[in-house]
Amino acid sequence: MTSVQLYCGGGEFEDIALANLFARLELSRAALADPFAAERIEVIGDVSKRLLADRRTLNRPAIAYFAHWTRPAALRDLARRFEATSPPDVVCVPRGVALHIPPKNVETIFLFSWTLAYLAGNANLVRLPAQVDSVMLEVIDLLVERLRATQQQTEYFVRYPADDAINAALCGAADARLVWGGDAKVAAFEKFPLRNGGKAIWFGDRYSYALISGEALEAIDGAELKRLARNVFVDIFTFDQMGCSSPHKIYILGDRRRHGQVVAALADAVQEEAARSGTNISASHSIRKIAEAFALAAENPGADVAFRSGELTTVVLPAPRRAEDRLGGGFLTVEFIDDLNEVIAQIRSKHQTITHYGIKKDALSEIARRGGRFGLSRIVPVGQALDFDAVWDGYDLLRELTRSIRLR
Amino acid sequence: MMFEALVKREAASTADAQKRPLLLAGLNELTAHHYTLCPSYKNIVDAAFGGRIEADAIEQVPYLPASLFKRLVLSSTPKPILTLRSSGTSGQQPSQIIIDAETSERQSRGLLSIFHSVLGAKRIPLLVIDSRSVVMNPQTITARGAGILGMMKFGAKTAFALDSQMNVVENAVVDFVEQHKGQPFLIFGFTFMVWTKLVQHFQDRPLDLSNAIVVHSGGWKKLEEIKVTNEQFRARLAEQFNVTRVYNFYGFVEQLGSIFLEAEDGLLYAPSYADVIVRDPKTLRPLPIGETGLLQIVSLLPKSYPGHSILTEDLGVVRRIDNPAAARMGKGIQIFGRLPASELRGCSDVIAAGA
Repeated sequence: MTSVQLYCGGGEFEDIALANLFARLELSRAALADPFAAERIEVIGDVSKRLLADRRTLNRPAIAYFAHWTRPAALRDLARRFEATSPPDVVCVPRGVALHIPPKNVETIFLFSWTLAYLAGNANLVRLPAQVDSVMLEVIDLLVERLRATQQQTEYFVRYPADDAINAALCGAADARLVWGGDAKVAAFEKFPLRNGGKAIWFGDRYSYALISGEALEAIDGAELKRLARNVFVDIFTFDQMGCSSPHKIYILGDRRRHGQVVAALADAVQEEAARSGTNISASHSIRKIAEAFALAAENPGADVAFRSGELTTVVLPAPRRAEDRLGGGFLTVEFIDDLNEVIAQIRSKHQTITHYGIKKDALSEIARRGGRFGLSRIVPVGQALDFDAVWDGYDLLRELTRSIRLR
Repeated sequence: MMFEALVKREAASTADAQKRPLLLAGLNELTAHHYTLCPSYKNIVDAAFGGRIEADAIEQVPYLPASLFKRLVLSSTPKPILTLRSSGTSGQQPSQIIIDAETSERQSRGLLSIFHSVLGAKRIPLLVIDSRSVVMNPQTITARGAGILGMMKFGAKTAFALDSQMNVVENAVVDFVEQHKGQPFLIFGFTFMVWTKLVQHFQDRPLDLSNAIVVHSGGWKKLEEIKVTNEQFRARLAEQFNVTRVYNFYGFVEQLGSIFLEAEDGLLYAPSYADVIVRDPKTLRPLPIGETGLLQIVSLLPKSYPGHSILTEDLGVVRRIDNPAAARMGKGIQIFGRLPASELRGCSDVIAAGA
């Protein structure tokens, strides 16, 4: 009989036969919780407190964000919003067993994925990423340890080598499935039916960019430019710019001749921030970025390339292009637009996040309303590109992870 | 033209201090040449180097990353005669290098100036440790084939040691050695081929190669994997075949004809019309002698494509400047192979079910 490896904490795994795992999941199904059950809020809140109390968390932005996002006050807000948006005459119940297939390398994703499903009351089966770094393992250990102290054992963190038979079997035992990791990954799982036609939630390939007002840039002082640069840096360099919501291009609303200089100053400030904060861009990727920048320059007369010192390479283009640059690792294209309609006109279904600075609220609503029909699922301030939220990629995840029972 | 003056000199015969101003003048000429004739090159120099074509020092001459030739076909000639392609590792775009009659002729003269001191003026019999099929179609030739064709200009009565399936044709090798016994002959092949197809294949069969001059290239990556160093390579050739004249060289398709040949001191020296700059892999600032970094190769040779200043992904170090004792002037370098390749992490998994 095939088996998977069950995480027991402290870096240790033990083999568990699938039949045994499924028997335990069956028991879990009888032990589901109400959405936002007190005990579950407490579990998450406790882990958050432990993380926030650890000084090392300060230097671990991705963990720090998770800890902040799950602090008890934030969980209460989440619960209130869930309550407030539930339709009348409806009782919300968990779906059952949720299967989480996180991406290989953006490790924190599965924490959010799991947290929301857990808060919704589900039992969970999480396939741990192939590579989990030691920092992440510490967080999982905190979780596993805290979960062990609960009354009901409903949470399973497993790993197994890529295997269609195991994937198929796990899907057949799941009532909801969250697949992260792009179109190819989604396609690989699409063929496996869920238990009783359960809920499949997909996170495919996405493309994201920033929108900054040239006028606003002209108006800010040095300190504000620095703050903005810090935020742009966080958006770009978290997960080496390879998150679905990492911006690859900046649209500047305004004229290149008027704002070219201040945009260059912003790029320099982002570079300084990157050099100061210590990014980890390899030399071979830096060369790749230069080659890509030169190729764009060759094809676009009038472009301007700045490759500074390894971290950030920027290409200012003479005219807006349809092309989606996705090289990542500190590679930015800058294109000037006269009119927000130019942004709306290029929105595609795979576009996910626009990070914005200096753009008026009603203009953003207009982009959401008119552009949203073609794509986009997030419009957030610069600096929040990677801030995970319960509403993600067009899904209100807490709703998706519960079922609504009509009660009259 | 500066190339004409320098190619007449024997390789590594000009002291570094004298060479630098000559090279700078020639490189500036070439930057202007390519700027005028290759629109893509002009766009790049305008975008990334402020449009400056007159450099004050060799280090300021605009450079192109070698991998750009995988992305773009860059030509400065109205009359190309062939396109060189790198063999390219699997799944990668090959480099495409545009060659015209003039640049082809410059490559030949360049190689002549480099190998003259090693091989003498007369053509000598050549055994290629490769297959004839690699050089069959000059129109679609790979870098490997071009390297062999280049060496064939020094050889007479060329024989090939391998069949088209890359198997050793023992008789071809034994007959060649027998036939040219008692006179100097040339053996050329890629380092890994010389090791596997000659050294290893003939380890139980005596071959007297005491008259052979072995020239090899292609890098040590595969040999490092099986833990063979340059010293071991040389020692084994001496012990097994009595070969004492062994010359490694460093070169790549974007810089064909401007190769760095190994000298007695074990270092590789540039020809008179080329030079090397070592740069910090991260900041790209030039590094002083003794520090390891990325190699940028400048050469006065390429006219048909903008390849006179190329930033490679090879790591190396300048060990010495001018070694009169070894009759080698200019920079003596050591190569450490390619920068380690790296992959970025991300939301999107590369292999569907692999995560």
